[in-house]
Amino acid sequence: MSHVQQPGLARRERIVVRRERLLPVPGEVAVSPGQQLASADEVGRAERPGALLPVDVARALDIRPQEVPAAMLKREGEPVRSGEVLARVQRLFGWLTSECRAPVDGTIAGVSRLTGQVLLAGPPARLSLAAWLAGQVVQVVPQRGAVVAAEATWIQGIFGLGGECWGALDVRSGEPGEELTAAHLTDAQRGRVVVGGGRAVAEALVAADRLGVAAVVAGSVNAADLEAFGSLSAPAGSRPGPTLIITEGFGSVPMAAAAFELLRRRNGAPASVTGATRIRAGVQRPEILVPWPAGAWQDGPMPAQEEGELMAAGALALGQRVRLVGAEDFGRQGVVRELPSLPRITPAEVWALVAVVELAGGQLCTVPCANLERLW
Amino acid sequence: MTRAPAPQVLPRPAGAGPQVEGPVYVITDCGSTTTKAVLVGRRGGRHVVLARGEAPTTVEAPFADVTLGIWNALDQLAAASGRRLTSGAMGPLLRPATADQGLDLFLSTSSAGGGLQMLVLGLVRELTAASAARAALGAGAIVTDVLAYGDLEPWPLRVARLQEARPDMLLLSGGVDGGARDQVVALAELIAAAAPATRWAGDQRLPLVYAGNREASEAVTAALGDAVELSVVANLRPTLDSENLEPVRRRIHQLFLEHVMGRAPGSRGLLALCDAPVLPTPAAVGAMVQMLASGRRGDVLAVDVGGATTDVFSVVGGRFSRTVSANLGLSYSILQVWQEVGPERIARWLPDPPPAWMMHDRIANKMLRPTVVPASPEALALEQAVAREALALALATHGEAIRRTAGRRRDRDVGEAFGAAVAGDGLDLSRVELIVASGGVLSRAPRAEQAALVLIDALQPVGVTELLLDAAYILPHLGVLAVEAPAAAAEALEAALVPLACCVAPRTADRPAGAPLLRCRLEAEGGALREHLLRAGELARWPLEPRSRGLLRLLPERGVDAGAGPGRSVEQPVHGGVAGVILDGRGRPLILPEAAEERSARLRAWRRALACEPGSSS
Repeated sequence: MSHVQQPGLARRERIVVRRERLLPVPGEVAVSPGQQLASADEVGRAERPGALLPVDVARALDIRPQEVPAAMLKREGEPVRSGEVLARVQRLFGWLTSECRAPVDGTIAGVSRLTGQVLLAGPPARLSLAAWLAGQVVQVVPQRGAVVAAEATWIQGIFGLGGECWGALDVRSGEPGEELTAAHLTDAQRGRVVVGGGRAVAEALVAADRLGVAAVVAGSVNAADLEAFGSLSAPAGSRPGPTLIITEGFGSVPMAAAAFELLRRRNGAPASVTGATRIRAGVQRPEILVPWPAGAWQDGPMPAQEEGELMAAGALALGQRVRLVGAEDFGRQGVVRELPSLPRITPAEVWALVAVVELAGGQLCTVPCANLERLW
Repeated sequence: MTRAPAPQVLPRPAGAGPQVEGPVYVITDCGSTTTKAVLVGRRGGRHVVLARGEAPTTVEAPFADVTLGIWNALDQLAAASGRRLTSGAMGPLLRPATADQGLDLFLSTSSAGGGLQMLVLGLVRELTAASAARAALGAGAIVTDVLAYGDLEPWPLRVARLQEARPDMLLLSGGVDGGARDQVVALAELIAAAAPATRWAGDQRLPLVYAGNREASEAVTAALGDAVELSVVANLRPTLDSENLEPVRRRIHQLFLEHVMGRAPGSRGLLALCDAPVLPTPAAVGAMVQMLASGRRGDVLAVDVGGATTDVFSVVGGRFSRTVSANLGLSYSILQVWQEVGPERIARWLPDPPPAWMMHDRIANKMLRPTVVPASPEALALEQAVAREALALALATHGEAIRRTAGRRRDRDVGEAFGAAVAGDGLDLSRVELIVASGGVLSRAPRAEQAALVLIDALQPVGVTELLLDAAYILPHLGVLAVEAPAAAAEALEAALVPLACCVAPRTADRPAGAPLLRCRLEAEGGALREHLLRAGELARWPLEPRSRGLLRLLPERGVDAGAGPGRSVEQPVHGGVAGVILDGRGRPLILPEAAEERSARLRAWRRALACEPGSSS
């Protein structure tokens, strides 16, 4: 039986990342292979069909459904304005006229002789897809978009809120455990990706929203603060205000020192950030990508690498640095010193495979392997 | 202390060895977090579950291949059984079985990758749309949305819901045969215009099962055009008074195999391994619940508290029902339970509740890292408190669903005409004689008494109720085995479920604490006699070994209902359980004291009475 722990989150100073930038519906691609893109450059554009509204023309004109096509003044595909007459019938030798008018602006999407309904499609919504990740176009997907690649510093968070954004990294805390407070934020942080070390307090989140900060990255946040600020269950992109990424979890937990150090080293560089998080059925973690400028490394561009390899769970090993992620001592870090081969009983009387972990200060504690996360 | 089997530790069962009589069955269930494998074979002339193994499910990135988890689980199963099952680390399977290695039949269920997600449409929400939802649930699906023609919601919103849902499948019903036609066609036209997509990438069209008015099927087919991949089956409500769910259930299973299983990463490998169709996990569980109910006079209830959902199954008056509370679970959905019930309802089950903000953080962290185990007594108590609330909410949802269908049955003509929700009898817990429970929070409870108390607190059974625990989560495996080898499945089922307790709980109202309720007398097999006067507010326990029997006699005080009606005595044989016979005088409904101090004292006393506290002895 192996001592398998939680998969750790990926943190790399230098890696080649590739991101698909695809339109949700077919459209027009605006880039070509090899092209260098900035975050704000448009990759593609499309029109999303408008909302559909059925209009019961048969009932409005008091005619049979099969008579509706003959009564129509507009044909399928034709645009109509709100209030414009869609269909008309004349009765009693033309003395009486009944009309059915369009309730909204739109296009005739369908006329049913079975139900007598006319489907009106509202005006299409225009979509523009930005590159988000500054880098090179390595593949064009016809009608859908492109794949953009960049050599970048890559840090995954454990949980995020909000959609894609970009801005200069602005590390505001001096150390991994320092909380991000409202005092750390001024007008100078507008449009930036602000980084705190430990917990981001509620007032800091409110201030970030007020000041127009692009994103907040912090080690942790209290769940109650977050719920008051936005909604934990709001889908990505649906919430106004800054994107939020937490790297460790809920509570008051310092950011992992290695992740903080990576961000500190890239302070001031333009970063691309997404808070999109999915916990099951296709796990997706929020991420911060900080592309390296061309020529930043003397050994030339690095070969592509499988990002997936970095996230795989694996067997624990002696000497491995780990973080405790159970309810007890959440967020504490240590080093694996012993891996007993037989399960042991925990204080809750749960039998589990455990590791003996040496915490900072030399204290030893016994922790179920399932409650350990690998630190990179 | 009595210990429930602990699935995370998989010792070789006493007396187990590689030798098995007759055919050897290996069955896996690919759950959203764990893949569980069992070995079923005959020993001592009876089919039993001989061993089990489990490993994390590998449907998600970075692995993205469900078969990896299966090979890992089989590896554990081989270690636990002492029987070689594969010729290498990643297969192939060794077939046929010999006396000491290999297997004859490999079967599987699956809910990996979120299970089967369906959106159903009907004409009237309480009637044809509800029948469609029942058909989908009975086929093992999670119903992500229900759209009804008769709803007042603006059409653009409904179309947007169709476009955003991205389910695995649609089910369209509506109109009895020869009945409403135009409305069903209108729904079909809307579906065609909305052009909904599946949740899987690619160009494959969304499967749609049409099970409505057969006289509208031609027009529905024409209206849908190429927008979906259409299957037409018999109407699931051919007349006002009848339902015909079997054809639609069969078609849903076929499409599940072709489209959903075929799309989940690595699932084609799983399909190639299996000797029979893969069933959605809940469908297999439902089959077993119906098998348990057959031959019983009373009703049967089954609950499965999962990480993402809580399923409730029942057979009430011979009628099978299943509901899924898609947002009530103990890991992925634990935060939704918190948001739904609030901190006070969680804290009320904790003798020493931590501050609300701390509970909130802990629960949110459990959502982020679902496989973390509660290692401290406080973490365990919090998880079990959330489980009580999730179960209670899921049961309320189930009772409401039964009430609606019961009402429709009686007043169907009125209901069909006006779309009104009609009151019915719902789920009468005094008629439930058996409760079967599963789910990690219960099966991994370090003490059987804790699992029993969670169930009793949450479900509040009335009268005499037998509690069984599916500790090894064996119902899905035996459900799919029942399709191929029903006798073997039935035999193995009997031995596989852990008798948890027999609960005796009179229904009372407004009895002061300490007032006498019930004289209880138990004559155990072998002649041992126990007597107890159960008082209001009291929780007591008698030991009675699992699979041993006794004769229970209950003499209620005037106005107290022990299951046979107020003041009427009860005499019936009962079975023992790991937690014995639990006498619950706390009243129905169970109302906890408002004052925190008094409530804590009561909770402690009840936990002491059942030896639920870690470190305590019974």
